[in-house]
Amino acid sequence: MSNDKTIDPDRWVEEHGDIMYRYAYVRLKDHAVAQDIVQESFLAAMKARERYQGRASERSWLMGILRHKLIDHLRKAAREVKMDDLQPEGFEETFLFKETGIPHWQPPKWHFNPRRVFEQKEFWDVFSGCVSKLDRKMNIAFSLKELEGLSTEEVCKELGVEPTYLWVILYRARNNLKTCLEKNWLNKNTGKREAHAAV
Amino acid sequence: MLRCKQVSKALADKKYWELPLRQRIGLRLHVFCCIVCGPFNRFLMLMQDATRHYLQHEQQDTPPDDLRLPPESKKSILDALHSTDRNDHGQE
Ligand SMILES: [Zn+2]
Repeated sequence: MSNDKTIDPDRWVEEHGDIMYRYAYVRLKDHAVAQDIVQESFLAAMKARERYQGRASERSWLMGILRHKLIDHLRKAAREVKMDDLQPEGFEETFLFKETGIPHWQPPKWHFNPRRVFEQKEFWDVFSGCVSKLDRKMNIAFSLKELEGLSTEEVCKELGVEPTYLWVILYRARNNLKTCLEKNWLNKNTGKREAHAAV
Repeated sequence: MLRCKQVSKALADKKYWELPLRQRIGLRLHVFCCIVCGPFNRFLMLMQDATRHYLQHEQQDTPPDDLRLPPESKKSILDALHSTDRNDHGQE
C-alpha cells in the first residue's frame, strides 16, 4: 500500500461506522449521543490524519479516538447519575458477607454451557444487546470498570461511591447480564429451531 | 477464611489474567476448590472471560441490524465529514 494520506469519508463510514456506533451505543444507551460521538471521532480523525502513521490498523486508530471521547463522556455521565441507596438483595445480606466481606452465594445454574457458545458470533450480538439494556447506573459502572478497564479507585471517584457500593453494583450488573443472556440466547435458538422445522 | 477474602478482593479489583502468573495459579486452585467463595468467584471469572471475548468480537464483527448506524445517521455524519473536508481544502 502506498503512503496515501488522502481519505475517503464514504469508505470510512462504510467500513467502520457500524462498529464504532455499536461500541458507543452499548456504553451510552443513547442513540443521539452515540451518533454524535461517532461523528466527532471521524472529524477529529480527519483533522489528525497527518499524525496517523499507519502503524496501527485504521480501525484501531479510529477506535482509539472514539474510546477517548467515550470515556470522557462516561466520566461526566457518572458524575451526574444519581447513586441512591441500594436495597439489599442476594449475597450482601448474608452474615458472612456482612462480617467478613466474603461473598458466599450459589449462582443459579446456566441454562446452557456458556463456554461452549463463546465461539459463536451470534452470542456476542446478544451480549452487546444485553449490556446496552443494563440500567443506566449499572451500565456506566460496568462500562468503565469491566469494559474500559478503569481502576476501582477511578470508577469510585467518578461515581462518588465507596468500593463496596461499586462492588455490589457490578455484581448486580453481572447477574442481570446473565439473566438477559439466557433469555435472549434461548429465544434466539428456539426461533432458529422453529424456523428450521417450518422449512 | 483470610484466603477467601484476599482472593475475592483480588478478583474484584483486577481481571484474573491481569494478575501475575504465580498469583493466578494459587487463585485458580483456591477458587475451584473452595466451597465458601468458590461458586461466587467462579461466576465472576466466567463473566470476566466473557467480557474479554466480547471486546475482541466487538472490534471485528459486523453488529446485528438493531445495533448498526441507522441510514439517516450515516447520511448526516457523511454530510458533516464532506463539508469539513471541503473547508479544509477549499476544493472539490
Ligand atoms: Zn474461598
